[in-house]
Amino acid sequence: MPPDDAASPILTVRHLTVAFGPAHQPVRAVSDASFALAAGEILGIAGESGSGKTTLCAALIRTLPRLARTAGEALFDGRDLLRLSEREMSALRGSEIAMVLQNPMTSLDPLFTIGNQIDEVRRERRVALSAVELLRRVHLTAPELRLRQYPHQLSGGMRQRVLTAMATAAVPRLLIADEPTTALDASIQDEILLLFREIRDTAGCAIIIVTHDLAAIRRLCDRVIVMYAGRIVEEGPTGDIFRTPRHPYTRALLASLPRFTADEVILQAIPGQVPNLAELPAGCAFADRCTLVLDRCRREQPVAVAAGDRRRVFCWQAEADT
Amino acid sequence: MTRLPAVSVTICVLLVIAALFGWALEPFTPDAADFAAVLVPPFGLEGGLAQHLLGTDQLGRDMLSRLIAGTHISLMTAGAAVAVAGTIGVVLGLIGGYLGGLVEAATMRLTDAFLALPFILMALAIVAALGPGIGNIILVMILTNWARYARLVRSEVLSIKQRDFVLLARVAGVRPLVIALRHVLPNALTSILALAVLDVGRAIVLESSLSFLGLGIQPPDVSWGLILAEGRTYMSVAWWLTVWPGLLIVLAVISFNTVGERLRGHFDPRSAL
Repeated sequence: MPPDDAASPILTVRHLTVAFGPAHQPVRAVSDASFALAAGEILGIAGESGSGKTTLCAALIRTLPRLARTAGEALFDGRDLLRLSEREMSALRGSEIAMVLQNPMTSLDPLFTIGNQIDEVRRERRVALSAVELLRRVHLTAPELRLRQYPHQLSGGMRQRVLTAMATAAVPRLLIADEPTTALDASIQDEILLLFREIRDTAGCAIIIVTHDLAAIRRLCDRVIVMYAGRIVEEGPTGDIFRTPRHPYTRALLASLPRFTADEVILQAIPGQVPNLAELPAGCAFADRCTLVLDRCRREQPVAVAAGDRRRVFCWQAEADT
Repeated sequence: MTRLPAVSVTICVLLVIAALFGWALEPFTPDAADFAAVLVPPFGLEGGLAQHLLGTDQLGRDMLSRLIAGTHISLMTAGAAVAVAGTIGVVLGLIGGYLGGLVEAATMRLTDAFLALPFILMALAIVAALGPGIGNIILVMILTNWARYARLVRSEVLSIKQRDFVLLARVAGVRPLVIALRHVLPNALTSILALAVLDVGRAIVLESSLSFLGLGIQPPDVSWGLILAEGRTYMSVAWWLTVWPGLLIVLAVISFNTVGERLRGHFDPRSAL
């Protein structure tokens, strides 16, 4: 159930930049990111390690290290998340905006039972549903037993369900999931992804899923943002991006998915390395690895090119094509 | 369930009972001199008397009664010192480590300053200024010990607050004070408990040292260290004056350490698989 275009966005990010290090020589983990998220939409953010996906999430929920500097704005319900006081932000977290962390193995306090930790969130957020009902909602088997158990007695998949139950306890309007399936077995990943879709369908919350797992994005997301070296390089509906990728990086990324033929697995890597964020070139960061590079790519930062319905691509070559 | 070491637990329980209810168990008044029975050896040896099981000292005072009375003062001073020093250290370490920044710098430099002061010098200075006595002994031990708790707790807090479940609590909207008290402190507790129980042993030795040097417990009060110090002069003719208190100090320290170590494992849910 992808949302219709008329739906007004619940989150509008404009020119979000996150920088570390000295002001005269900043390291920009996220540069000039702009996007919007409609209510009930599932947005996937794809990119390899170091592309700024996790930093972007941390900026939205304001858990960046103190030394990070942010610029731009992130309007949630008309309020700029980047400028709210710590107290106002704290009130939003867990109630309006929730987050599921990357590693379910370490995200629960080892000293307390599952029930104890769920009750803590229920108390803080005045959740009416009982802990058992919350666990049923995420299809955890034998919820009464789980409540009395300690985190180390649960498997990774069960813990991720518990964390999801905690994050969605207060029915947030925005759920941010930072690599929710990375630490899980392949067979469990699918179940967790289906759970997210079910949460969206029943609770109607918008979900941002950050992952480097393109297959997960394809199965789950309505829209995709592809990031490279801290910048958004391409954005559009999932089907369109997978069918007709426009940015050379997106194409290379999709081509690098393993393909299985009769007797071998073809792995196609992208040659070269992700550039150092402290020494980004003046032009497109992907230029050195790009097969279609133009002179202009090395001099100027690409601008957004509208590439069909609700699609944007940041590439000079794509601009030349249209 | 881990099994507790039976011998050590028994010794600890006996010592605590002696410390709490010793006054009812003492066969004689601990400071009642009896010049008709001076330096009587323990019962069973040549010249030993049944009413003085562990012998008498140079003033004819009953050793068993004095040791029981000494248990009370030795354990109470050690317990009080550890409890207060631990509380101060834990509070300052938690505040410093959790808040970071200037607060952390201030608390940790204060900690460094206190750790830099030599124990005996500090004890001399306080006793010289305030006079000897139980209260001042406890004060000396608090002043010299709290910093170790502050440093330990601060380092634990620094590592615990980086852990994912603290981040999760933050993004789940749990208030910082609640996170500090409900997640950070309990996870540091095993280390704190281990240090505290070790410290009871240490405090017993410290108090004994101070009393031995004459800076600690003053007669007519009595402690293990004081009995040891007084018996030193007669060591060549009456070994029991020094052996009994020495043995008690050793047994108490070993037992508290063993029990503390086992308790630490016991309270860790990961060991209860």
